[in-house]
Amino acid sequence: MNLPEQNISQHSITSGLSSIIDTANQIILGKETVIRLSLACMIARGHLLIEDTPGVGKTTLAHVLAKILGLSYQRIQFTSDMLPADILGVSVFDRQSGKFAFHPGPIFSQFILADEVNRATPRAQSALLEAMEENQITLEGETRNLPEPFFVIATQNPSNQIGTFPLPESQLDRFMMRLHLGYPDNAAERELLKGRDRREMLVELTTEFTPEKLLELQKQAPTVIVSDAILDYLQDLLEFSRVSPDFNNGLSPRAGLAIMRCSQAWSLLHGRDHVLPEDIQAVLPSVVSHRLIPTNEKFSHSPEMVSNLLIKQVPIP
Amino acid sequence: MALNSLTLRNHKISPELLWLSIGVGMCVLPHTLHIPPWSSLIFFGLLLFRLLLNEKTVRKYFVTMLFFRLAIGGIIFTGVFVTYGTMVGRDAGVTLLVLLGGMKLLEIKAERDYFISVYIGFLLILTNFFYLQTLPVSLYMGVAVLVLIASLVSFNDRGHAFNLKGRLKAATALYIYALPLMLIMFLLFPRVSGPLWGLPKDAQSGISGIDDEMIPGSISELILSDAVAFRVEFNGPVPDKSKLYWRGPVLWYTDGFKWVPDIPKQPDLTINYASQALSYTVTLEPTDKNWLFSLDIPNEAAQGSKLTHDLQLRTRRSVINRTRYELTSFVDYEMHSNNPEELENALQLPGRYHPRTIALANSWRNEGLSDRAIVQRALNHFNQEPFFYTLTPPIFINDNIDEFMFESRQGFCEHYAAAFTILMRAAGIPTRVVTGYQGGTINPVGEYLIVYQRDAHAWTEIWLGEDGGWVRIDPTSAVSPSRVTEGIQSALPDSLINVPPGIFNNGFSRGLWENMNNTFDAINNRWNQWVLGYDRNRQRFFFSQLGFGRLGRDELMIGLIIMLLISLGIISYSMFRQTEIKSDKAKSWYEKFKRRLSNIGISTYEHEGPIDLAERASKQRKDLADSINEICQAYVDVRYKGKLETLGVLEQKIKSFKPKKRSSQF
Repeated sequence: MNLPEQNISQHSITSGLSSIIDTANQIILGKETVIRLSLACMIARGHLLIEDTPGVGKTTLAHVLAKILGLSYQRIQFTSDMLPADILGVSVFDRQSGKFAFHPGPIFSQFILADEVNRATPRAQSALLEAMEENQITLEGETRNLPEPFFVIATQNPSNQIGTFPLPESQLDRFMMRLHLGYPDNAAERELLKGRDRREMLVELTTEFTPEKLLELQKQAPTVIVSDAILDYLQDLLEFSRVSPDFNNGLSPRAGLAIMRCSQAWSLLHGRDHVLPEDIQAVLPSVVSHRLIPTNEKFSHSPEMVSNLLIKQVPIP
Repeated sequence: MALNSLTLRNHKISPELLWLSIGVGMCVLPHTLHIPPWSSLIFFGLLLFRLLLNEKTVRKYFVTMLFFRLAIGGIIFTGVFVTYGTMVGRDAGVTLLVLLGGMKLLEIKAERDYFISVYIGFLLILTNFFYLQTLPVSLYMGVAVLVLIASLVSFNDRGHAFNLKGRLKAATALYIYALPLMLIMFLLFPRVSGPLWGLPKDAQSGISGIDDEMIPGSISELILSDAVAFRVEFNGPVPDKSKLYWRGPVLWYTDGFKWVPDIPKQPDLTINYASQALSYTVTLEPTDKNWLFSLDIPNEAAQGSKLTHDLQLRTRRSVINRTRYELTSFVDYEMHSNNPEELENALQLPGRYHPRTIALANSWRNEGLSDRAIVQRALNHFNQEPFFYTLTPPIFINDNIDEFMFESRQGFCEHYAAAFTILMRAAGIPTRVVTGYQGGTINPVGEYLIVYQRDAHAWTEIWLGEDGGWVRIDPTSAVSPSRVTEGIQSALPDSLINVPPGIFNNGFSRGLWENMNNTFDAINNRWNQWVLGYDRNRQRFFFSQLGFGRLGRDELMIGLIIMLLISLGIISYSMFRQTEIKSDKAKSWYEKFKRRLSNIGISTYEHEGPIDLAERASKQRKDLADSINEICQAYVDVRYKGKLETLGVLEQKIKSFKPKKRSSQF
């Protein structure tokens, strides 16, 4: 007999996802993996750091993601003279009521693009990072909750450029993933050159996806089955990163949790209810490349480093 | 037949439904013996009808079926009410449950309905014990439980990965896990005296046994019964058969047809015991009467009973459960009554009845004989005149005693006892009728005595004045002495008693048959004593034997909880261990699969997951793509999806995966 499918609701949500991924692909050409990884990061309730040279489409990516998910969007351009109040908001004395009134800053949005975050001073940077960590901010003794869902994409210029304050290792750890966009391949670039203006396309973009659906997915992700065998694999990876002479320091427990959450989100994104070793391998480079410092300078902070030094060294138990 | 699914002319019956039907059918089968035939027909009709329907039809015609079900429901309720005149009580209730269980099968369409049907099955198993609690019935019900568990296994096996063996194996494993819990609950759960809940009144009907009223034919009716009346274990040698008189109701008054007992009074007796004390334990089958049986004569009342003036053991409540009691008796004795009123009562005659018998007694009295001589005369009369001992005496029309004494002269023990009493009373000798059992069969296997209903007997006690006291006289022995010395079997033709089936009816195999019977009864007796008869006393005894001393109810409860927790812990640990082992097994099978792949030239990497491997390998060998994909998916199911029950599928697929290297053109 045919018993009713148990995971109908999950199924319909993930099918909605594949349609928005298609839409995003039409605007950002040849970057499907990056789009999927960003979505996985959002479903896993993490924040995203994009590091790349200017002009490869970081802002467009953020814009597209916000739009297709139907989230309220704010862009904060970080500069060297920025103060925390520019991000969080400020209380101004209102003469008519005789009281201080709070004017919320750009952080009170569901989707924040923090552009060129390494151009600001550490003081302004840490205001953003704290908000990311707590999902709430405290100003003048009053605690205010940030909206739900809350997602930050920070972009960073490569740190060897002039006039930057690179984020310290400890603060890099706050981002669940770090992605590289990289240059488009030949065919994608040609299509970009021939095609319409991306900004125009963005304006026309409509979506059926809602923030509620995203929240639902966020709630569902932790229920994806992580079998003992997968936990064994994850622990082997963490252990290897800690004892291998190829790395200066190993992965933290927080990194381990991030890997697990991301792989759960990744498998949900692919319509599965259980994590496979392939899921871990898919998310691993983006999740750990900014947390590991290889002893060999040659591999410095590149995803290839992770795949060569970690994934290929650890057998799947 | 694999019993995985059954196919009848394009109609496939799913394994879940098949197993459920077999299970519920097994639960109902024993009930067909006592529910009305029409209800058995309806139940099995519904069962068959459901099996012939397919899922789609059930869904499509759900509403139409609703009217059909309403109609059947109407028939059922009316039928039960017409048959029993009520909806409650054991028989009506069970019939209703069976029929509604059949109806439930009709409306199965979701998972929930399956589970409800299984639980109805479990309930039906319980109700079987309202009728019979013997070992064979319990074993049968154990098998029925196994089948029901197997059907539960089937529901949870959506992918139909199990074959018959696997299904039964899984069910048996669950069964074995539950056994220690059952044993702990059985041993430790505090017992209440008496049944936990009252069975409905009609549950006691149909119990046969000695009554406290005697009419002609009431005892001979019992002779045809092979049922056990009680079992006796002696603490020492068993006395001679001719001394085994099991005393039951004592009857004093007659209206010319029926004999009834006296009102129980305090004993007022002087007894001199003339033999050694015999102590023994009786396990009495339920009688629904309020007296116990004792070896003639008991010296004191058993626990829970009172001794009356005529040495009956009366209980306050009816014996509705199997009851064990200990007694001490003396087979040789001298018993004097100190109550003259009692002797008066023992001379009562029914007004105008039995004139010829009374005249006969008077004629003896007028000859000037002594009491003892008159007794001897009467016994001689039975012995020398052509009297016959028979189970099937002719029907008496007017005066049963006179017709028996002077016309037919054929009768059973109750006729002899009654006639003898009338004779004695007419001659002025106080006499009373004693009913009970005489003899018994020793079971050499268990070394105890079985007294069957067919050992039922009636005899008399006469008052021989101050020098004799109450003396037992068995008039039947004057006609058929072997009845008393050898037992009822020898006194009656073979054809009436415990006839073994055809092939056992010769010398050697008859012995075999008896041996089998004895062994069976010995097992049954153990079952009765230790399982069904495990009451508060037995429980106390059991734990004091283990060295726990006297455990109170609270201590038992605490012990129960602790033991349950410990065993649940052990069980869950071992189930958990099994999960690990199974997962590891899957891994070693997968390694074997990888070796086979490298043997045909497909390299494998330790860091490559199963899905990636499948994709790469199927590109290399398109001809093997299907089986490779299937194996990798099965491996994922067991190892990463937690579907451990499909380990067998993985094993099977890898076992049959024997790829060949491509020929050398590449």
